[in-house]
Formats: sequence, structure tokens, C-alpha cells
Amino acid sequence: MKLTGPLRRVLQVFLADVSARHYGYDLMKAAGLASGTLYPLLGRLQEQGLVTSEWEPQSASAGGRPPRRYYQLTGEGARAARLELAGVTGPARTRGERRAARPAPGTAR
Amino acid sequence: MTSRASAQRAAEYLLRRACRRLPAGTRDERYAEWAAELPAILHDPDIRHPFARSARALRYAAGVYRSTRRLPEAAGSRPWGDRQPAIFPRPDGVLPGLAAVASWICLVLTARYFPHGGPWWPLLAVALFVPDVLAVIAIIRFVRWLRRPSRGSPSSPG
Repeated sequence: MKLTGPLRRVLQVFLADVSARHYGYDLMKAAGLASGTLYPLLGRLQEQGLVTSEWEPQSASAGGRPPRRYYQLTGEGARAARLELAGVTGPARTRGERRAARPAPGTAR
Repeated sequence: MTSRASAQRAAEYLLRRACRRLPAGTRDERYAEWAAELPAILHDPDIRHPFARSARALRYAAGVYRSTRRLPEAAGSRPWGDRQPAIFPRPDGVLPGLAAVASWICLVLTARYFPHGGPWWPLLAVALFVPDVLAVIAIIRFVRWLRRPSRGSPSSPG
């Protein structure tokens, strides 16, 4: 899956606490995404096995509100998300690699 | 009825419409999921004004409505749900056409109501473009519909 801005934001929210479960509106607020962007994204992540979802038990839903569906990163999803997000900032270069990439003094660029 | 209750009902209506685009097997589950988010939005303590919360709930439902077809489970479903294609299909462009006529009528009535000008006239001048644009959209969509070989199948449920 291509790492788009919305996907990056959703993955960052998930990775902030890998064990945390999020419901849709919670994710929308945390990632700053609209519902029309979030749900297709979650659907694709779920289809690829990177995110799993489960329904809140009826007894846990306080105040008579309907039970929510919670999303959580799978182990594979957490690993893939970390790799993808690390790739965004680019691989860390060693000092020697940076020096090799720099043009030598006096050479034309 | 409070604005919160009205907003919830309107949002639930939109969600039900959105779910009609999904395969029958997933509709109920998706509706339950999306409708369960509405109380959280309508009671969101981070949004101070009740009207803003209602607007947020409606925006949420509208976003879901717009994006239902992009859900993975919607990929294999027929865009018009379980309905059979209509025998006399509605041509595309009817809604913008009706909107163009309605906005023309509104403009004419407003112009008759303020025959000697007034603060509304500059606004009216700008509003004159609205029916024109709608009429152009209606004509384009109708021509496309005429050219489409599979005219019997509706292209969209809306």
C-alpha cells in the first residue's frame, strides 16, 4: 500500500500505543481525518491483515449507548507500520556515507 | 425535537442510504458501526457549541455516504445495491435540471418582490449564475446519458 499522508497519520496514531484500541471517531480526531478518508483506509488495512477489529462487549458500553467497533494494529501491522514510517524519514546515513555523497572541494557540481 | 436529536436522525438516514450501496451481508454490521459513533460525536466535549456538534455529526455521515463505494467490501457489489435496473430508467441530469428551474423561479420571485432594487440586487446578480451553471451540468449529464450504451442500468444510486 502506498504510504499517503492520511495513512501515515493513522499509522502514527496506532503506533503511539500499539496495544491501544481505537474506535472510528477517536481515530478521526487523533489523525485529523474525515470519515470519508478513514473508513476506506481502515478497510484496506484490515484486508491486508495489518489491522484487526472487534466489537465492544454489550456490557462494556456505558450509559446505554450502542457498542462500538474497535480497531487495533496486529503484530504484523505494527512491524510494517514501523518500517513504513522509518522509510519516510529516509535511512540514517553514517558520517562516512554523508562525506562520500558530498562533492569534493573544487569540483563542479 | 432538539437539534441534537434531529441531527442524529438525519445522520442515521444518510448512513442507512450509504449502507444500501454495500453487499447485503455487511450492511447491518457497517450501519451498527457507523451509527454507534454518532453519540460520541454529538456528545463530544471538545466541541463546545451544540450546533457545531450536530454539524460534525452530519459531516461524518456525509463523508461515510460519499466514500462507501471505496470500501473493500463494496468492490464486488452492484452500485445500485439489490435493486433491479428500472424498466424506465431515470435519465442523468434530471436533478440539476430541476434545481436550475427551481433556482430560476426563486430568482424571478425575488426580483418581483423587490422591483425597485434594494440590498438584494447585487446578490441577485451573482445568483444569476447559479441556474446557468446547473443547466449546463444538467445538459452535459443528459447528453452523456444518451450516449451511454448501457442506458438501462443506472450509473449511481443517487
